[in-house]
Amino acid sequence: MRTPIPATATATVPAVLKGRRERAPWGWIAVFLVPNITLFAIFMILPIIGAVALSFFDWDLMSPPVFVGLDNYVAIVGDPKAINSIVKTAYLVLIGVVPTVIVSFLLAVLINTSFPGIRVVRTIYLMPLVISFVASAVLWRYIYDPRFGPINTILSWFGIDGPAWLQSTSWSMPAIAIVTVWLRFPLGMLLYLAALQSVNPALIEAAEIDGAGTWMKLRHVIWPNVRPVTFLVTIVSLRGVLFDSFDVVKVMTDGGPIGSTDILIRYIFDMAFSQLRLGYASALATALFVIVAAMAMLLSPPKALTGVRQ
Amino acid sequence: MTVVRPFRRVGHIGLILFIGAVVGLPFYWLLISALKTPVEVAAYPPTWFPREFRWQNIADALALLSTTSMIDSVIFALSVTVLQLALVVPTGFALAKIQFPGRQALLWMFIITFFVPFQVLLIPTFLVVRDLGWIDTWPGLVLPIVAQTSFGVFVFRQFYIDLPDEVLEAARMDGANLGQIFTRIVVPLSMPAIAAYVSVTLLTAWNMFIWPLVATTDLELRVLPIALSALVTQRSLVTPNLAMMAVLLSTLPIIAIFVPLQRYFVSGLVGAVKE
Repeated sequence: MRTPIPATATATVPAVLKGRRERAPWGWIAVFLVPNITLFAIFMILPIIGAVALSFFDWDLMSPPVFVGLDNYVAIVGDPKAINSIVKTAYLVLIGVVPTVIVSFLLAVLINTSFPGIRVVRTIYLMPLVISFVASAVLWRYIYDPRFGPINTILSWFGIDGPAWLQSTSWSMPAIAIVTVWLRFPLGMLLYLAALQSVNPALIEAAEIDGAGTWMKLRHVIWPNVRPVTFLVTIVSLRGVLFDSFDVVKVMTDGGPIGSTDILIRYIFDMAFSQLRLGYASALATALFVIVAAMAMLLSPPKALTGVRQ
Repeated sequence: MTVVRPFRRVGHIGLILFIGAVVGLPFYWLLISALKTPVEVAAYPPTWFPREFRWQNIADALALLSTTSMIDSVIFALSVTVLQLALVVPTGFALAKIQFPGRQALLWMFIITFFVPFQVLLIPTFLVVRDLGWIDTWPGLVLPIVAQTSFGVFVFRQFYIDLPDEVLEAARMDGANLGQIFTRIVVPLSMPAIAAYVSVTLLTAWNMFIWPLVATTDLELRVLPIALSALVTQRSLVTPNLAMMAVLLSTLPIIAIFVPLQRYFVSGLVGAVKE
């Protein structure tokens, strides 16, 4: 059965202050926007232009930059390590972002309840949010230790001979993904919890009266009602996995073993700061940005993205 | 009225506790490893509770992380948070509730730049800061991070979109101008969202690593993550128990802020105004 759902959070038209017959209040708009836009222009837009411009040059920081046109972009196609890093990035997105979104949603539903001590338990659920990537990477290196680490110790209780995790080409990336999900799910869970509390309880009640089970309620009542949040959680996780995973990968494996965790952002960093191929690194970065922007567009049409009727 | 099913309830709570144990395990491991002796921390099989507590680890790890680093981290995190908040709240409000030509384009600019990795901008940003003569200065360290407002603008814009227009319209009828509406109505209504944003930004800034590494060479301007990474790169010198204690000590201040503030995370994101 379909219950008509009031469109509350999805598409409000922010039209009231538009000022009927009045002009836009430019004085106030300037007060609200100029400080932000000024800093944004200097430290965001300017560097973005710089990075793109750099991608058409060969530059090693020392000698003067040489204009090479599109050569850096052409070079990407013939660079097996670059191709490998793109494949590895896609792999991490697949086994990192998707589980983060699902785990965030399910755990939000799970702990959206109350019992004595729930506050303590919730605090534990949120704890990964506070530890830095550098610190957690150091910590998880010890946790993944095949001999002294708790994971393989627990697996051995069940007679399972745990893998060598970070030293294994097939397990290193799942190991990174587990850390990623652990670090990332609390924020997604918080966003979902907030959304869940604005889901009209009458809808859930109605579904229960209609005899809906847990799965039916999740799938047909709760999930559709938190869709705007799903988009937010997805882009936040996507960004986190693509870019902030750098800290984790850098400290835990530095791209190894044998390039098995060499995600694009680490490869770019390596090209820029170890090889000093700034132009090539910028070309890779620009390509990465284009791919990500395209993925974001694909994930959600612009209307849902901005929540504004065009 | 929901039907209470006691067995399902016990199962539900049991599942919550079990997953809590899984999520919390790394922290338990951090805690016990930080208190073990150098011999026990490398023992096989590992012990699940320290046979012997080595409290000396605290003093040793504190000596490895300097006081200057801790003070620098506090100043850095606070200034980034306060300045960024002062930028994103008005911008988010303007983009949600004021109609003006170019608003869509501006919103798109913030959304698209959200996907630009800071690592990509590292070199050009460094060049800008260097040209300003700001390397090894507080403005050079803080302002490029403050300028990363995309996420905050997006969050507050989404928050204000849900703010009922009637509230603002009423104030407008009473003759309040936009500045008064903003400071007297919008900001007080956004306190939970602000608290949530503050807690998230504080800890992001506290944990920031790459930019401080690039923007500073001066030992007087070293934030904690840099001090921490310096410890673990000299792994032969620092034993795992001391590295773990340093991780623990550098994380404790943010936990102290986070635990009392955490209710704002949830309530703030729900939004203060309910229709």
